[in-house]
Amino acid sequence: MSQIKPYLENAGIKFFSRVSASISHEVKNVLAIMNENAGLLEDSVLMAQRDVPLSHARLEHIAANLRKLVQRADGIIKKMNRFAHDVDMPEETVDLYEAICLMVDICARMIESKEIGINVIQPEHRITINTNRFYLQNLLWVCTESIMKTMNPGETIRIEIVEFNKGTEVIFSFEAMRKEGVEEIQYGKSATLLLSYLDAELIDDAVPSSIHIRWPGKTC
Amino acid sequence: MSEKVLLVDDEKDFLEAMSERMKSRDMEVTTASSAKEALEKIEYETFDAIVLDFQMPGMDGMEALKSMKTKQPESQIILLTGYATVEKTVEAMKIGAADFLEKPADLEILSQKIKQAKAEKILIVKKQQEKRVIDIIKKYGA
Repeated sequence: MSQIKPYLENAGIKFFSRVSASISHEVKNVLAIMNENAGLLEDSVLMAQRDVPLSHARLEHIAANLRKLVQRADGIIKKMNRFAHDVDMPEETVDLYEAICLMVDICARMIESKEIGINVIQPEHRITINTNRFYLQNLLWVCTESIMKTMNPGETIRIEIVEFNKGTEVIFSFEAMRKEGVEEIQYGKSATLLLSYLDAELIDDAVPSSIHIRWPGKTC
Repeated sequence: MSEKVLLVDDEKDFLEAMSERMKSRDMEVTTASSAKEALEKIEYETFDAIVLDFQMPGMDGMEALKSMKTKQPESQIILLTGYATVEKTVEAMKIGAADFLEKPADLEILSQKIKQAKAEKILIVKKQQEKRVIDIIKKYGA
């Protein structure tokens, strides 16, 4: 374990940096729209100074836009904050559905840039495992990104969580799954290290169009 | 004469607010919410300046810039970006970007850059026309 730790930490820092950069871009976009709405208010004042009557409806529209943008920025900051707290505990009980949804949220911009859809299926009951939340997020992203590389715009990955006997699986499926995506997870350094650190296994032959990340005997 | 601008950004609220402000400054503005849509628009129309968001879903800014310069080498493209690294800026300038501006942008500065872009484009088009005349003279003789 001590031999893989530096590599793992390095991969973790890279993941954290990518997510931070992506989220800061999201914030910048919101600020840019707020800036233009503030500009519209300034323009309205300038026009009023030239005796053009102020339109109440227009002011209400701009105020509503600004409120919507504040909510959007708040949502972005909240997800960043949740992600930042992922590193708080070395191991804890993690709700897998929540963890997958957070991964999709924090990586939303990177997913949207490839025009890929993600459909996370909510299990009928809460399914949890004891693990390191941050490295779990990292593994979920490595799997998602590897599969996305083999996909075309407009296609969708389905992610679901199932319990089997006394174990748990996260299943990524996509109808036209190609072997390059699976191989990147199977043989890629980051995925191999993460799977090993998280005591998980990659099962790629269950169904041809899916890959399964399995935690044997890891339900709580 | 007003400047004819193509504004390209995937954020519809940004397009709406920015284009309204540009129009109130007497610019003639057309909008596109993707690089693909922008490329379709420049197929049939020319603009004094194209203001292009550098990071959009689908085709990324660099790819869009290359395609636009291939279709219309004389087009003046001003890139809008969240964060521009020095490497990306240099690469974009080499491909032919006219200028860069970081988001959130100051509209007065952007307007200045659009005016400069228009002046630059007029010069390029004038030179192209002169070259065409010289080529015709060479071909058919004085």
